[in-house]
Amino acid sequence: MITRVKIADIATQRGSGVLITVGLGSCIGTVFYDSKSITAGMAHVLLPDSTQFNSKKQNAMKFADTALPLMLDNMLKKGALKKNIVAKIAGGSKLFEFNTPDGKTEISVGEKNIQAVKKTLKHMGISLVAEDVGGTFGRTMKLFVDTGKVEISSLEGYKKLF
Amino acid sequence: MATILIVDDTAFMRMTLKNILEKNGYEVVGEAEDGVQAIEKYKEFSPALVTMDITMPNLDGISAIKEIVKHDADAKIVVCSAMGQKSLVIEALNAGAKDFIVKPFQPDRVLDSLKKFQ
Amino acid sequence: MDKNSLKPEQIDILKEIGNIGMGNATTSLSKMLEEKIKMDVPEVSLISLSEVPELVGGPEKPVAVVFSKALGEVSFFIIFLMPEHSALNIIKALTDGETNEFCYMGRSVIREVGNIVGAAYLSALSFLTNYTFKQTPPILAIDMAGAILGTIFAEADLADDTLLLIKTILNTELTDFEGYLFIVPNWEKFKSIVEILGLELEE
Repeated sequence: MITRVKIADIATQRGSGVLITVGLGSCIGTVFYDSKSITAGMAHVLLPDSTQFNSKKQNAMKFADTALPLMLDNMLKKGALKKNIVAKIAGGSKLFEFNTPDGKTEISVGEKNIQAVKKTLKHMGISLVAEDVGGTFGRTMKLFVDTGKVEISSLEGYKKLF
Repeated sequence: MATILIVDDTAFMRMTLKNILEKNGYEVVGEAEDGVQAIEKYKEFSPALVTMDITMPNLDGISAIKEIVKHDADAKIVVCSAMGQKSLVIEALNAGAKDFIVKPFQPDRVLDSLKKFQ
Repeated sequence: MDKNSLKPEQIDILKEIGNIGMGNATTSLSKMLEEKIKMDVPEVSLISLSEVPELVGGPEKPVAVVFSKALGEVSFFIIFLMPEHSALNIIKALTDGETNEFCYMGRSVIREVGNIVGAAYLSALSFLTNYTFKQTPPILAIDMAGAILGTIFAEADLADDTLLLIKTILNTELTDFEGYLFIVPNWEKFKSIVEILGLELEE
C-alpha cells in the first residue's frame, strides 16, 4: 500500500508498503521507525512552533512541536515501542531568498523548521539517525515500511538512500 | 550623444532598455540593480538621463529619486515601472521624476519621453 | 475561517476583483507577447492548504513561481505559477529565441513577467478601491509545485488551514503558455476591500 502524506499531514503504517511525501521545500519530512514491530510514521511539518498562534482550530499536524508527539501516539497505538523508535528527517531547504528592508538575509523558515524538529526530537528523547536537510531544492521523501529505508529524490535527479 | 543610466532590478529589462537606447544613439554609461547602486552610479557618472524602476530590493526607486534630486536638482529621471497606480505615479513625480512610463511599454514611448529632456 | 463564512454576494465581489485585476494583467502580458491571451473566469474558493498543489497538476509537477507580497492598507500574497514548459516558452518568445533555458537571463525574463502581471493586477485593484499597494520585489523559484507552495504557505505564517484563493488561468496559443495567478489574502483584512466594493455595487 502506498500512502501519500500531504502538507500538514501524518500517516502511520505497519508491516509493509510505502509512505511518501512529495515536494518538501522549507517543510520537514519526519520519519519515525520501529524496526522490531515494523511500524512506520511520516509527518510533513509546515511550521516550527504552534505556540505562536492562538487560533482555536489549529491543525496539530502542521507544527513541529505538536505533529511529532501526535505521530508518536499514533504509532504507539499501532503497537510500536517508544524505546525502539528512531527518526530520520529531510527538507528544510531555502527556495527563495527573502531580504529584510535593510538588505540583510532573514533566517529562512526552512532553517527554523530544522531547528524546531531537532529540538522536539531531543525533548521527546527520540534519536535522529539520519538527515538530508538544507540546500536550495525541493525533495520527495519515500519510506519503505518493511526495511525502514528512506529514499530522497529531487527534480534534478538528486538521489539519496539512508 | 546623451549619456544614460539604466536602473532596474531585472537583467532582462536592463537588456531590453539598453538595446532600445543604444540603437537610438544613446550612450549607456551604467546599469544599477537597486536604489543604492542607482545613487552611487549617478554620482559616479553624472548621466544626462536616468531610467528608474520602482519596485527594487534594498532601496526602492522613489527613495532613490529623492536622494538623487537632493544631490542634483537638475537630474532628469524617467520612471519605467510596472506599478501604474495613480497614487504611486503622483508620488514619483512629486519626488522629482520627470515622466512615468508603465511597463510593458512600446520602445517609442520611452524614446519620445527621453527626447523631451535632452 | 469557516467554509461557510463567504456569502454568495461576497464571492461575486471577489470574482469581480479577480476579473478586473486579471483583465489588466492579461492586457499587459498580451502586449509583451504580442498575441491574444484567453483568460478563464476567476474561481474563488476557500481551500485547504494541502489541496492547493492539486489545482496545478499535483505537488510533483515542475513549475516556475514568481512570488511577491502586496503591502498597503490590506496586505496579501501574489503568486504567479507557470508549468515549466510554459515558462521556457515565454523565455523563448521574449528573447526572440536567443534563450530557452533557466539561465540568469531566462530567470530574469520570468521574474519580469511575474512582476508585470502582479503590478497590473494591483493597478486595477487600486483603481477600484482607491487604496495604494506597494509590492515587494518579486522572487522566483523553479522546482516542484508542492515544495514551492509549501514554502510560501510557511512564509505566510498561516494560523488557519484554509486559504481564500482567487485563481485565474491564462492561455495563449502561439506561445503555448499557461499561467495561474493566485491571490492569497488574509481574509479578515481583505473583508474591508469586499465591503468597500459591496457598498459601491449597491449604489
